[in-house]
Amino acid sequence: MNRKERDDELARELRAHMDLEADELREQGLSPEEARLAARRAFGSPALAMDQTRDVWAWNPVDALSRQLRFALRRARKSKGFTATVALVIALAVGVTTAIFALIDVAFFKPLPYPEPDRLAYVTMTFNAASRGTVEQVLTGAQWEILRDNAGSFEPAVYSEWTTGVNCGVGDRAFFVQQQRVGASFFQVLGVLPVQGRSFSKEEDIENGPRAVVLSESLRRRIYGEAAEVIGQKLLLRGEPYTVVGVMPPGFRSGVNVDLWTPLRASTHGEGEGNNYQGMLRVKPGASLSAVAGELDNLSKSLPLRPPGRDGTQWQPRFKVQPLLEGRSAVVRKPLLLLLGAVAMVLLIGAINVGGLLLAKQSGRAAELATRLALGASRRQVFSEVLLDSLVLVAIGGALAVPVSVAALDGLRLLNDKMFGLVEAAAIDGRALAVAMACTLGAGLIAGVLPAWQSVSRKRRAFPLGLLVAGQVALVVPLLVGAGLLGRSFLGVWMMEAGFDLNNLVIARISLQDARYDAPEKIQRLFRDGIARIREVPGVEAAGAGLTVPFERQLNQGVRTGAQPVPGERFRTTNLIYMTPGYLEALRVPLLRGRALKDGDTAGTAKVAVVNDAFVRRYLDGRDAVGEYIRLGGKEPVQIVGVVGDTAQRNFERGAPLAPIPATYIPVTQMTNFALVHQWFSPAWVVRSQRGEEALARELGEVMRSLDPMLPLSKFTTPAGIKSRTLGLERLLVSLLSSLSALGLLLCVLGVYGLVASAVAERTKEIGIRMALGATVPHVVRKAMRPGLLWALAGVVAGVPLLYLGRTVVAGMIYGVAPWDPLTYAAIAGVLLLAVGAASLLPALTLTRLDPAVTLRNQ
Amino acid sequence: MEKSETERVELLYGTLDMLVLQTLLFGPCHGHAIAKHIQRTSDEAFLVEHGSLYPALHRLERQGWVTTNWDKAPGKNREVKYYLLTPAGKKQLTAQQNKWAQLVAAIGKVMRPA
Repeated sequence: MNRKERDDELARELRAHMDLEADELREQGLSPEEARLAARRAFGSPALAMDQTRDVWAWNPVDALSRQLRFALRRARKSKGFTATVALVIALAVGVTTAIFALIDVAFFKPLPYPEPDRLAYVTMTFNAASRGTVEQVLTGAQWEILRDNAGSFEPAVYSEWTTGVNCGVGDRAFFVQQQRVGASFFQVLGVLPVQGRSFSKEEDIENGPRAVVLSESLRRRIYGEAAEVIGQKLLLRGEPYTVVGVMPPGFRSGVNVDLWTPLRASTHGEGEGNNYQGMLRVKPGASLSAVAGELDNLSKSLPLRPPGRDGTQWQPRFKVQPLLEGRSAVVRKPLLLLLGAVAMVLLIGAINVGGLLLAKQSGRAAELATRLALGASRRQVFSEVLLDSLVLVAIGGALAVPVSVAALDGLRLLNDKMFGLVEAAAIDGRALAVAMACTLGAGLIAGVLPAWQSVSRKRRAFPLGLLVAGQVALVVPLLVGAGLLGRSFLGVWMMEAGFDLNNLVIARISLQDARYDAPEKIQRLFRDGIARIREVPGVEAAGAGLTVPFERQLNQGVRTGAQPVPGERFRTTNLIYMTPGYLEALRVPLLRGRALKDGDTAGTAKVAVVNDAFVRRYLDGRDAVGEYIRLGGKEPVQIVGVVGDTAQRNFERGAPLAPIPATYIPVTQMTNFALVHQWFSPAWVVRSQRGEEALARELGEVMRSLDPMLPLSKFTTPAGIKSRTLGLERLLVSLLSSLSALGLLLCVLGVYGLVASAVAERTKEIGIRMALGATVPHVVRKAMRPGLLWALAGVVAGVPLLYLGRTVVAGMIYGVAPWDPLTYAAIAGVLLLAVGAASLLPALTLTRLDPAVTLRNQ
Repeated sequence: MEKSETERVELLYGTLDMLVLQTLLFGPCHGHAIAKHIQRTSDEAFLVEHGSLYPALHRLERQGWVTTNWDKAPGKNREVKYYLLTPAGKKQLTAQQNKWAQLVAAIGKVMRPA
């Protein structure tokens, strides 16, 4: 029987009762009308009887809950503005938390999409010195070979994390594709083999082996459509013929977005000299990761030691093995945890803020609830009802948080296209939704418990709203400090002395990964002719070409100082940039000593180089370096003929992401080994001109076409554009963190505003009387503002211990700023004071319009 | 016959259920008759409030101690809801009677020490 039927039956039963009573009275001689009235009188209130009887059946908690839920929804509908405010706060707070969780999930928890992912591990080298801590690097060719040749209870693989965009030609069609280079055992170790064909053979994975390529399923479809057999097909990659040997299953990802894979061909020279290889392994069945770690520890003992540093530091090399998921996401883990902390703070602030709103709203119902309690409603009933009201409002916000989180994730995708495949793999899925629900419920309980408790509290004393305001301020303090320190550190890097003139500079790139440009003479001729023609374009003030430009990743090159090898000499690294004459002049990098590289430096003349000031400072003790010799890659000596100023370059070592790094510039005419370098870098043409970018682009395009119609010029970039791409992760972090703290601050301001406004509204009469008795306007305004300011101050004091938390978390992520940077703290104090002051002043100002006469008359 | 308010006794909490069950021991009965029966047999000491009777009846129904059916009242053209004692209800009545007897005995000992 449902409730309606039960109600009807009960009504019928009670009516029958009264009819029987009336029958009896009629039999005693009353008139029918009198009997009916008397029976009704004798019965008492049928409504009350019905109500009480109904309660017997309302035992079903689902039934009772659904009834309460309907009431709560009706109340939510009745005050739309209030509901919208609460829902908005919760939707924002829960939405961003969910989006960040989706990223965290990918970086920390979600198993990698390969069979038995917990057997996969990432291998790096660490160098440890007691006095200097630990440095972690990816593998060199020699280190990889040690790993490969000593594989015991594991199966090793090597790959390159960098992907490059290359032209892929099939017949007369060209595709721009992302290429990744992987070792022969790569797919085998991941545990996913091609669905068609095979993975690379050992012969294909050595230098000058057959050129083979494995396609992704999506690229196979793009190129060959529905054609069944693609194995053995030929295609051109950067002008060289390759044979398709395999196709990976649909949805296969190797961590980054890749269209095709080619063999890595790891070696101990060329790129193998530097730290360019990612190592990975699969633990064999029966073995464990800790056993493998032990094996690698033993292996580490046989690693050759580097010669000790000048200060005698002896670095101890050691293979480090960690779960693959952890290794792959290492770079983003700390920033993500920081963001998680920040969103948790905002969520908590939001919940407390909503708690304050609900408390204020609930006090409007105080009389109604008190009446109901007096009439016999149980405390539990009232408590659960008020709590449910809050939960319903918060749940509306929680539902809205889902689209907010999807939008936030999309926004992250737009902001940062290269978060290591992390954002692509993140999704608002069941797990994220569960987290959103848990967050919503948590926020609802935090926000709802106070009003519910107050509604049944025996002491009818109001809970001090100011305490909630103080709580919010306490939570926002570490948020502001973290964002402030990080922002100031970022600003320092962003505003860092570039070392060249960024204005009126455009950069165009040409990929020389092309079989036709295999000989140095051809490349050198292209540069010589190209620069000469570009200089003829009207409006061009200066032009030059170089391998890379400042702000971006550079070619790493081993270097030794001195003309002749000395026993125990130190192996250093420098950024190496080949260039045409005029390149540094076009950038306006100042020449400090000696001479610039010029047209007369050719393949036939003495080998020369220009180094920057950082090189001189760090490797040559700051002495006048002109005339000294260095050996690049340990080969023949090169004479330093000039010293130029430092430029900001991408730094992968410890410290700021942009830094003046030792750099060596050599003439392009004296560069010989281009093939490998051009696989990694597309050389840059640097043009200084006052003319508009578009017109310049058109004319430069024509110049290049006249040189070689098959060499398309890339889109133009500017130094500023390169800088913002290089600092993408940092910028993303800073912008997210500052938006979050702005959101937190806004909530605090709303809290302070509400506190002062409600106090003013409550005490208007009292204040009117005071003013009539002689209190001045400034006096009452000051007095009205006081609770806002005092509670906010209490919050700041309570937030000081939390400060340590914020400071500790960002400590390793800030550069050039002390964790106790007084300027940051002063600025934050100023902002906070201003915000809280304004939020207190605004509602207090309504008192200036108060007319004591009117107030008194209304008494 | 009608007793004045002062002569009436408040029903002890929880005893109404027992009185209703006891009434139904003599056969199916509807709410009106149950109320009248309790009033009459208690010599009008108990006035059964309808606001208590119907919750009690429905409580017994919910617990499965009585069942209900609608039937014509004897000699009248009216359908009324009859309550019937179930075997579980009989057991419950016995249990309550025992408890009641113990209670009365205990109270008696306290009030009139031998």
